[in-house]
Amino acid sequence: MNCARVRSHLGDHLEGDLDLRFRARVDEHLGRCASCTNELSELRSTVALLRSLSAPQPPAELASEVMRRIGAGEGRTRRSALVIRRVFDPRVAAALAAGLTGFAIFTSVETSWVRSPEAIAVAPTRAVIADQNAIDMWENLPPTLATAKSVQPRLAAIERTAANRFYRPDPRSMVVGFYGRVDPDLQQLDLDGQLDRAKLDPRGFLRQLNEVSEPERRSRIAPLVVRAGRRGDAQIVARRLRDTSHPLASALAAEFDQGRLHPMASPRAIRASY
Amino acid sequence: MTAAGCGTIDATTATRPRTVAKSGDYLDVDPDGDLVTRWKAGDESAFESLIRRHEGRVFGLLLRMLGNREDAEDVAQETFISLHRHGHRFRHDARFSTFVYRVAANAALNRRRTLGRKHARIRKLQARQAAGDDLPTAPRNPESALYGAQVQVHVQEALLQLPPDLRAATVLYDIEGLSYREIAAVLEIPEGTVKSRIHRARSALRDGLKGLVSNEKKGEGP
Repeated sequence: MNCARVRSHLGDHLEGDLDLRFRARVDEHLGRCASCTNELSELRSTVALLRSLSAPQPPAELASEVMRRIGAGEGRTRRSALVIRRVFDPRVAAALAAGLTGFAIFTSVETSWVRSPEAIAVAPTRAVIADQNAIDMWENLPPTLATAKSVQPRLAAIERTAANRFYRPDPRSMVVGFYGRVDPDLQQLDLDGQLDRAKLDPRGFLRQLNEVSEPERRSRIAPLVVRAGRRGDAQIVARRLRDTSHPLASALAAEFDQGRLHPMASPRAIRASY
Repeated sequence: MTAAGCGTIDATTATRPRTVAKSGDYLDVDPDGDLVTRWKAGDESAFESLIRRHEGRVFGLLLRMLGNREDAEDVAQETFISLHRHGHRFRHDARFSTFVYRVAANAALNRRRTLGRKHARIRKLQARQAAGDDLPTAPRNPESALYGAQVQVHVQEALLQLPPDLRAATVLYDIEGLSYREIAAVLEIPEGTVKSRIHRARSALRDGLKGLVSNEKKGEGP
């Protein structure tokens, strides 16, 4: 028996997986070959080192944190089951396809843009686009598919966002992930409050907007349009604004109408619309 | 075969095994069967119990696969949330622990793939810090404790140098103690491929740990 054959079976020898007759032949070779004996010894030491690694202690709050996130709607809930059923609705399929395209575009957006204030504005849009199912799809790609050339650009895009700690499966924590100081719930409450005011007191709302510069106004309106689109009352806001016949009303109402028409539009499309 | 597969049986199981899992050509009792059944029936506390039963092994696998606690914790959370979301697809045709490992291993492989090598230096630093954290507070022999921690760092670094598929196989076999058959089920590859990957991983590790392996040999005597 030559060295190459013996070495190819050293792993099985170490595990005691060789049958007795074959093992006797390997042992016979080892008895007269210092090189193979040394290799077996090093292999044994390597395995011993591996097995000596201490078992790490998981974080104490791991289970409670997972249960908290599940409680917040990230697990399998009635809502997600509803979403799944909706996906199979032909009327929704087209919208979802548009959303997934938007997701792909979003993940390829450059870091410099992600850092801009508008990122906060469009994060809720991404929450719609990157529903848990879409995130799952990318995260749980089988290794064979993940290495396919066609998938590589998407993975590279996700890698870019992951490197910036922006990509998190929880749409709300996506906002928090990078903008650690921004509380998504508070931000959403603020947007809802402004939208309610636009409906109840459109003149006051417009007067306040009229006092700020044009770029500032745009940065304020962008998240409101997206939020109104998500809430489904963009059309009502637009109507209330038009009723005021304020100089700004017509232009702003048109933007809210656009939010209604493109609640799942890609961030790039939303930016282009301003 | 090896006795390493016994590692997947949790001796601390508090529930009476009931569900029978078919795995290849043998029948086995799944220690998680009762909890899985209760959870599928809507008992969320059963799912929390499942997390607590598996969090140690999942976290261990992920830490060895990813190389730092922060990523391991993130992916561990995602693993369990993914399990919660997709666990209803579990059909008892294998042990639940195999299903858990499969989800965790896929998550780790995907995370490694997406992160690439950008954070290699950071991981190296974190591994060293982790080794420092693992030191006993009042070691009887500080030098040997430091040496032990350094050895762990070197082994972890050598593991991270392996291609992810080889690393997954050897971590599951040599560290987590799964059998070839269980690893084949987790990674969804033939048993022969599992063996070959473990063999290649060990050879690469032996080369990567040459200095340590030689030192150990000297220290252990003939």
